[in-house]
Amino acid sequence: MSEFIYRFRWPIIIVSWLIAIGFAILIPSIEIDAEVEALVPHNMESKLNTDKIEDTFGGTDMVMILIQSDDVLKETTLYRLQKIESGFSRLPQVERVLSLFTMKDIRGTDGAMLVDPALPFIPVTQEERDSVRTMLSNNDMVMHVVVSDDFSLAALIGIIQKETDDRVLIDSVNQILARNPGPEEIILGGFPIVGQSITSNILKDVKLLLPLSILFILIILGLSFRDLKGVLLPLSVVLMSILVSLGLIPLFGWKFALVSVLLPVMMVAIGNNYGIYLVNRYHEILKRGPAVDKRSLLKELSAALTKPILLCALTTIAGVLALLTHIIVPARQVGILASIGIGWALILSLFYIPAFLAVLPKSKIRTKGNRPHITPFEHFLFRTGFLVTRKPKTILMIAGLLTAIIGIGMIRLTVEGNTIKFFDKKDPVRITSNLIDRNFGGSQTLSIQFQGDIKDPDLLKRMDQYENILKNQKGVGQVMSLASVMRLMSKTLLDPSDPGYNNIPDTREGVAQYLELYSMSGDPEDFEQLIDFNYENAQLLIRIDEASSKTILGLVRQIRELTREDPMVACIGGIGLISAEMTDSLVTGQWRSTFFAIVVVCLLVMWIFNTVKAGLLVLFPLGTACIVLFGIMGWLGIPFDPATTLITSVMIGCGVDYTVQYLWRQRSEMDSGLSRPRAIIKTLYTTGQAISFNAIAVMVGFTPLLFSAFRPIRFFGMMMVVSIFICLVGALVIVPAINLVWKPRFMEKRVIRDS
Amino acid sequence: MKVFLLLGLCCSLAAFGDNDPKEILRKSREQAKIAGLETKTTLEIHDGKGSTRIRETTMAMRIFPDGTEKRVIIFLSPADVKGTGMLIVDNDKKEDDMWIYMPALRKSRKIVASEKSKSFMGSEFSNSDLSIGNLDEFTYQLEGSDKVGDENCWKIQVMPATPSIAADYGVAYKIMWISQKDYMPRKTQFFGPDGSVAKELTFSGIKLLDPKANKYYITHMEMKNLKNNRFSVMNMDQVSVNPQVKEEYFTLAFLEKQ
Repeated sequence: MSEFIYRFRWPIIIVSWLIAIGFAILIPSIEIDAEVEALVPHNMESKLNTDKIEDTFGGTDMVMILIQSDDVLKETTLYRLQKIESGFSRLPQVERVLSLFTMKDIRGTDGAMLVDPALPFIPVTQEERDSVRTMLSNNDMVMHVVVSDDFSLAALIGIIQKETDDRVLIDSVNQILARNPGPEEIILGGFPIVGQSITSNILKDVKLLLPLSILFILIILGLSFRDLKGVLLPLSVVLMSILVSLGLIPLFGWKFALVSVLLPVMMVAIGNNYGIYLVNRYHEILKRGPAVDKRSLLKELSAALTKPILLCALTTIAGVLALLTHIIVPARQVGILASIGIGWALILSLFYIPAFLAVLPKSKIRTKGNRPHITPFEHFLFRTGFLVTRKPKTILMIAGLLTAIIGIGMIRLTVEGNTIKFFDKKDPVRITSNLIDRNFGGSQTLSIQFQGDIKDPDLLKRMDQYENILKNQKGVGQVMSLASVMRLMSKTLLDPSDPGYNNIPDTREGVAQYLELYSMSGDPEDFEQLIDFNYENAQLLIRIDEASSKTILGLVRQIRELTREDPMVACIGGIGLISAEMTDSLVTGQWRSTFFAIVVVCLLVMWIFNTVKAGLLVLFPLGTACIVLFGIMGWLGIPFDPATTLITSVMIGCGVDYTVQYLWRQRSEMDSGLSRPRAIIKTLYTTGQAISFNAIAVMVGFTPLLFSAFRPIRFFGMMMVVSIFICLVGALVIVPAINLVWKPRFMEKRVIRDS
Repeated sequence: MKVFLLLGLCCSLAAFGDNDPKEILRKSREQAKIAGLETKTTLEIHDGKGSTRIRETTMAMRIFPDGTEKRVIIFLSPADVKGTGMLIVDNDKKEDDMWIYMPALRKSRKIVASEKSKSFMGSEFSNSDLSIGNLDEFTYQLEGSDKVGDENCWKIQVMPATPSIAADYGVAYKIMWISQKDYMPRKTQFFGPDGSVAKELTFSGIKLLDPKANKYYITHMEMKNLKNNRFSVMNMDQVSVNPQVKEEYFTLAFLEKQ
């Protein structure tokens, strides 16, 4: 192979770059998808149900324009709000607007049913303001819906058509706001706004994190090798594999999601591994014999490293491919893209780097006097090896104890799939969301769809019962259904002394007549959110004001329990449920992908070393790393989320490399006749150094994620650094210690073993 | 309810001032004003997705000497709303009065609604759509002649005189096509605040009810909501002129007897 590389060194270099440029051309066509729905598979039950419900009752996505002032009933504030509302309601993407100007005041008084606009006029004097305030305070249809209880906030709630381009809509809203300036603060909320914030933060993240990651890697490579080749060759491999993996996104027809931010950084962190091994071995060969000719150098390099690097890459790819078992769609996509990227980095490392080394002049290796220079780090590794070989049992006991103590944290593990929680507590998105939750009943919804004869009073009474129970549950901001409309109608049509007052009618005719009257009292579309045209489907709509996944999941469990025996409940859906079900699947996905990654990687190692024992041996550091990782997450309160559930697969994929590299070299040293302790010490200060550089490079590569705008990405970066460090310690301390205590035969000199 | 107002909206063939748009509409209105009549009407409400609701009603109307127009509407079908009745008193100078009787409750209730743009029986028709209201609340501009089918029409732009009237009627402006032959409307387009056509109303089945008094009646109207594709059709299946419709029909007691 080295001969082939030497002969075709220039074509290899040129073709490598041409392919990279080809993929780079595709990158500008990448689209970003920030919607929660994009995270879940299309066949997920909650997604199918939500689509079904939205087809019947229209979309529930909304954009909220909030106006904040000491009193929103001030004349100037209301005029400004009215002008904004006028522009907002004219936008083609807005199906209808709920506001002080569109809501009704339906009430019974003095023997008459009154149907008035909720805000009858814009008050000018303090007296008028007080009277309007009293009227509004008595109107359940507006309080906590379009105006806050303390009148410091008023909302324009725009129900958005399905398939709306959020960016176009938000630009139009901003233009309306710019045309209507004023002293009051304007706050935008709702899922399209959150989605847009995610999109812009994803872009910011990619623009910041990728260059930062490359810069960090440049520094670490420069410090490690102090040689331009050692810096530029692994770096160019990284760049080319990033271009290929990103270029594949539009080629596969996929979109860039929040977790996709991890992809380029993962490529920087992992893609340079093989280059580092090569450059390290290249330096090692030159240290031993600086006069070696390029052909022989390439031959030795190829012979010594092709197999271990190939195995390393295979184990990493296997680990990362375990993400295919994940339920989150972009996680699967990241798994595929990262695997292809890593595969490409491997091919480039095996062909492109040697080809370039054949083209460039040989590096000059620094030596101390006549002897090659021994670095302080090599000294440290030597001493580590010495310590490990002297006290292996003590080391294993301490490691076991620490793992147990940290592992206890696992019982504190939590899970979070709510996109709002991806933002910092002080982020405007989160502040706005809290404001909406506190004052307007929340922006996430759950829906129960009923199917059958909707005019059946028994059904409506059951709906009423569900509504009453759910209203008092933690996290529920508002509940709306046909039952509340029926109650409202009864209150407006009957006197408090009438038996049917504030009740559901007892007969089907009564229900039908209430419905007929309600349809005459408002806009025909007012109804569509709660009941379909043919009175065959009805919806009970729950708005969530504490949108944590735990609360929603608890609520969904309660709804299921409550409606278990109701034959007319067709399905439960809503964006809140999608988010909650995704959260649930995060945990399943986490365990499943971890299990698969460990099994596949162990099987690979068994195959590499041709023995089951090798697989069991790598199980120790990987298992330890997983327990410590989950324990730390539990202790620090870091939840499982769409990003952190990817850590174990990536960690297992990367971390197993170190053990494989270590075992490969130790066995080779023992093959050459060294005793087990000596082989361990030699492996540690030779390959141990490369493994350490590699791990440090990976850790440094992931460090920029700490600067991400998203908490899950920051947690991912933090925990990746921790877990790679655990894997490093596992490979360089625990594995040698186990080796000495267990003395597995497959590591012994093969000649002796075979005899 | 104001559908029926419109039925009495077009009238008179005064020969002078044909090209004054306000006069054309005044004549049209007078010509459709009938002292009293009884009808059986079918209202079809289509959701634009293939589903239809059908409401059958019977209606009696009479104009009293003081100019007050009273109407009583009784639902004949569907079965679950049969017997539901409405009594509407159209006052010339003040807001309409409306009572509803619901047989399931055995109770009449007065309904006070200040908005004119409310839906008529859950259909695409609304009171304001079907009426030009007080002629003085609008300004008029003749936009020339145009054809609706084979019919030569005047094309008249009707603008609310003030923004509050526009808000009250829920329309930025409308364009009406009035036949040059019989002064009856053939089409009306309702424009939203963004300047696009929001709804379109077409008239057909125009019958000369009383040749002597030159009174016309429209038996078929179709309203299309161009924003959501819903449409509603109103058919007057039976119409009989009766200036002396019993006065007792226009009482709550009559409603409650049904």
